Amino acid sequence: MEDQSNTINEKEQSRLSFYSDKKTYDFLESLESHILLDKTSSKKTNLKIKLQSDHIAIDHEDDRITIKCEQRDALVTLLHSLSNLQSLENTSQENKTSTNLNLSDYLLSFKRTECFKSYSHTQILLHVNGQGEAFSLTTKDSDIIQSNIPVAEFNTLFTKIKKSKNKLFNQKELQLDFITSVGAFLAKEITTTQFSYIIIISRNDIFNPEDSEINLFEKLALKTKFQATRALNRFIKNRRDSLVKSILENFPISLEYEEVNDQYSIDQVKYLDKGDSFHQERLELMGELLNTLRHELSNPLFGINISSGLLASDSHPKDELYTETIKDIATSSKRCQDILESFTNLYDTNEGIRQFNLNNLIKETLLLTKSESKFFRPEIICREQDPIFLKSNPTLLSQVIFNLVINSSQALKNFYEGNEGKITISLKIGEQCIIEVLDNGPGIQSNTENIFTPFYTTKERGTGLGLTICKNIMQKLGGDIVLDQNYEKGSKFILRLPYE
Amino acid sequence: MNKKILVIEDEPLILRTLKVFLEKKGASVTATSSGKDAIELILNEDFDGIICDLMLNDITGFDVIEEAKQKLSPEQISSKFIIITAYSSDQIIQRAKKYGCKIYPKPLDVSRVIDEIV
Repeated sequence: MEDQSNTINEKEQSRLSFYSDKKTYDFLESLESHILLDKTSSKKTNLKIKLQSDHIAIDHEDDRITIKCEQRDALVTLLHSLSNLQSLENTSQENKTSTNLNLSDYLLSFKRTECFKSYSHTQILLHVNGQGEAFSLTTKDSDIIQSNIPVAEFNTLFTKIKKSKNKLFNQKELQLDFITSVGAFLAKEITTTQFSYIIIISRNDIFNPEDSEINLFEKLALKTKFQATRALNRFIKNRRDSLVKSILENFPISLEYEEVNDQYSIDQVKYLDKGDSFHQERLELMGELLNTLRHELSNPLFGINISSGLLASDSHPKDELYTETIKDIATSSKRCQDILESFTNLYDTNEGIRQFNLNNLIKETLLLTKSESKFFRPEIICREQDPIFLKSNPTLLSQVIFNLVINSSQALKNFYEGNEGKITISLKIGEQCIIEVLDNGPGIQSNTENIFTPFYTTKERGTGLGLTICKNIMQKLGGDIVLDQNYEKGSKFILRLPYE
Repeated sequence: MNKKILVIEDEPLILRTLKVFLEKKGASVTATSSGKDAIELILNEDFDGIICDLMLNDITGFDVIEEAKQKLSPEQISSKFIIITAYSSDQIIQRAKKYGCKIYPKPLDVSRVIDEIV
């Protein structure tokens, strides 16, 4: 691994750039005290990480920070493992256990042969080509005990074994503390394309094994190379996967991976995208859910609707209360049907750009925010005489307005005890279509530049993604969203969209 | 002449209402919520029209049509069957078209369906 990564690094092909969130930031900062990252910067922190042979170079704006750290190996692993990211998710705990069993099975199989049954100690020393560490693997019951050993010592031992004719050694002479047996042991060195390993067996006593045993051991070690290789490969893969997994967990970045000219290059990795894809996933799930709900509910609702129609058309004499009630049932079921319809339309993620009535869209959106916003009776003020018809993506736009109204509602709920809170959505068109979402709440007090930054939140349980997503969506729609800094009576967001 | 009509629908309110409306128009109506019973009825009796929901509790309306093929010609199927459904995806509409029968997505205009069949 060392060799491989060096070649890549020398060519400076491995590059990792990403927007970091606070956690990552702190992590990077903790690596070395002289990293000076501008924390208060309102801009997204755009870090570029370059992996060099013995350090990580981090480019931050115009500054370059060079750090030497142990995480380099981890990052190299990360780079090399990117193509395996997909399969990562499937590495279950169960899988792991069975793999370890494989390896320990192999180790224990020596003991199971008649000839070596008194050999209570079996051990494998493993070194993956190019990696800066080697492992010692022993069994305890059927578990694998793993520890790190220095590569240099592994190499020395490996050469020694290779040169040895009888493959017979004694701990007394070698004094290697990573060999956990006592006294005499047999060892065989094996090389595969990806790694080399040493298999060691011992009776844990000082008596030398018989010549026949020495002979057989060497043959057996060679014969079982295939089984050993397979077990070790699994072990290596699992170890690497869990390493990458732990990096990704602690290093919350989402990566886009691109292979250019057989070299690894990673560009423009945006944490933003993660939030976005979560959002998209949630949207799709919601859409699916609502679709099912609509179908399941529309049948009985339709039943209610037509049977009330039947009752109303009935020629029996009825008193007025009766007739009114039947009418109300019909109206209510019709309304339920409409609500279902608008819900599903709003969450239709397949919907692309189309012409729609903006006033109606906002009305429908407000219907969805009702549970949060009902005390504040959001009001739509259309500054045009006619309803505005806009050509855009209604689903996405509705998401933005939804988010803003929910934000306002939450702020108002905490700010007022009664229902003095008020949300207004004002619409007008000029060269652009302008939608303003205003409230008379506390406004946004702190760090107004940061509000669109991912993971910036003032809410106790916020994700800090809401406004980031809004901004992303608005950009996607060819528009923009800004906070009106001069507005003092509360908060005021201005959305601009292209209007033809 | 009294038309003989079969209504297959698992939502009781819809089933009953359609039955009553059709009877008011002078049709003689058999109503069932079970697809399997419906197949029996179609094979054993002669109906002038069949209003069939797609999502039944036991089987689908398409299964009913497939079984009805034993007795009815493709022309008869396309003229007798009226499909009503809350699941009006493209896929389903395509499939219904294959049988050549009319399809009404729910919520539907009851009087139109009734005029259609009586």
